Amino acid sequence: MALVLPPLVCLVAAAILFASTSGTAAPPAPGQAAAPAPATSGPAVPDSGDALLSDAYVLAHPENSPERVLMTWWQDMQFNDPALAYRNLSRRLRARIGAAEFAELASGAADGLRGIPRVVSVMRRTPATARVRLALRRPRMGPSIGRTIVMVRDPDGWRVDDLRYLQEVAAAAGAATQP
Amino acid sequence: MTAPGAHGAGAGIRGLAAASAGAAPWRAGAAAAGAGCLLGAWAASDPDLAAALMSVAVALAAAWLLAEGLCLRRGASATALLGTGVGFLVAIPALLVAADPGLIDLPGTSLQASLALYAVGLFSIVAGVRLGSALPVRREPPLGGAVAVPPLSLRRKLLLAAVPAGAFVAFLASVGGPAFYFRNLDSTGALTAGKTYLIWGVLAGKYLVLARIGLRWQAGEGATRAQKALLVLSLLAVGAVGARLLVMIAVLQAGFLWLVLRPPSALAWKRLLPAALVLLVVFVGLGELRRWQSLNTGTSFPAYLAETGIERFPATFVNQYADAIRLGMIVRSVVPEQAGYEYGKDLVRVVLQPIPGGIRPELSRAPALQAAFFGYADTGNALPLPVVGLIQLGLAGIVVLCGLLGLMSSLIDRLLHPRLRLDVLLALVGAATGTVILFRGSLPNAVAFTLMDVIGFFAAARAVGARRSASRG
Repeated sequence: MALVLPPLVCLVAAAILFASTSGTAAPPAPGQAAAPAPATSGPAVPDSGDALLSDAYVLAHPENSPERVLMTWWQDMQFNDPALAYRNLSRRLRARIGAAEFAELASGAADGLRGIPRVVSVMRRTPATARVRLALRRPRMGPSIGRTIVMVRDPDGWRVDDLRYLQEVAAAAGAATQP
Repeated sequence: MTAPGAHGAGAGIRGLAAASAGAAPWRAGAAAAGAGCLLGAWAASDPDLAAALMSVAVALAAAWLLAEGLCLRRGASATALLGTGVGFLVAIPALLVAADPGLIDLPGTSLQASLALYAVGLFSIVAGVRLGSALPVRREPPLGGAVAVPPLSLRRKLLLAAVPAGAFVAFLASVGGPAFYFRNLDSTGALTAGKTYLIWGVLAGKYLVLARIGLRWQAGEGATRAQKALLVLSLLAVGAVGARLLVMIAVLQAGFLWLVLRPPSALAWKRLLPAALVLLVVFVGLGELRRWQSLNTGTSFPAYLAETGIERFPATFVNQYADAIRLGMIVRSVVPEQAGYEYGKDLVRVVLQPIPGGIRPELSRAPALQAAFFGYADTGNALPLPVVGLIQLGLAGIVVLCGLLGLMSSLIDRLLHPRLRLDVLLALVGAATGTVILFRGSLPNAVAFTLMDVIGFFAAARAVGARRSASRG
């Protein structure tokens, strides 16, 4: 006992301190996790000259993560497969937009989806939603732009719940082709 | 206090060890200082003063652990390794953050709560070490007479070399080829997930070369040039398969084996200190390279290093390289208020860990815990042992897990002896460095990697003739 006594004295003092300290400096806002998710970044863009997502790049994102589903969805769009991409939309969006209408939107936005999006961070305020921040550098289009895509966790996994970027590029493409 | 006739850094350390071993008063003094700091922090109304006192107590616990280790075999002990690791991973960041709390930007969390967590953890380790020093152990009988290095046939050498070489090729093929892999070093965590057995195969190169070198050291000879070159090659291969921690552990194992087996000399420290500096530069340099890749800034690496990397180094250090304090702040804000204790679920994960990742059943986590630590990448959040202890069983979990780590470290030191048969000795070296891995890695991964090292070293030493060398001796 005498051997262990000196560190035990400190251990008891540390335990008292541990019990008296609170983990949160201020109460969290209702419905919001107190600890923000750590800032993260996804795999580096494989090659600045590439315009299309490769399978290896998509698979480099963690399995069952919102960013993996987003990259899969993005790749489906790049390879002109709106039917498959439609399946990765959230239930909420699929209730609002039909497959044909989505295919039309995807066709109009095709040019804006070229290039390799890079995940800058993933913010998960609640277990069921994630905001994936992307740096987008389209070929021959100068510096990267930043966009945030909202993902939701449906019963069948993470799904895209945000068509703002698609609508943005489709609108820009439409304006460019106006006489 | 310096031993008579001694000089230089090595002599200073030996002197400190001799002073530490001599009597208990220094322990009573350390206990008084530690408890004084902690109770002072408890009574302090100024949070900055409380944090400063607590960081001093944490640093004192790490120094105490190191001093306990230095008492044994000129510092060639598992406890000294653990003390050094804890100093680098917890004590230095604690002092840095206490001096500038703005280095970690986590609103809504508490630095003091994290420091209290580590104070409990580190003093539990020290208590475990002291307890272990009193327990009876049965040592393997030491070798008698001179140890001879048995020759290896060319066929056997080629056969043994095929294991790490084959594993390395298979590993690169499984991660999309060398070009893709080396351009994505910032994502090695995701890319190497589920490839532990291939990594073990690559690690076999390290085991085999160190075992062969160990035989020569035990016989009183130096390593040959070819062995040194192979050691460097095996370290490069280990570095290529991912985590910098694996390279650091490999270098630590080589240095530790050297300290255990080679005759005492002040020259040792003259070699080890520059090696430690090189290690630090490699660790930080590789980390910054990965960071530069992930940020995709558009500037060259040297420009990034000069303009951003060096200036932001203290913040990068406490948030990325040695993020134990940061992780402590997060866990205390989540457990137990938002996520309840897991009551030993991690122990079940330890048991399941040998099953390959693709088919291993995943045990669920509380959503708040998942969001805080595993939201982005399940592979990227190695949790220190005190954090794991808190998640499992609160204060009791920290005390039990950290106390067991201290006990393990102490028992390894009591079993370790330079005249042990090399297969047993190398297994103990693997376990000794494993104490650092167990402290810093998430429990299931850390137990797996420690066992891989212990088994790998034991098998490699037998494969290169440890038993024949012992029987000849």
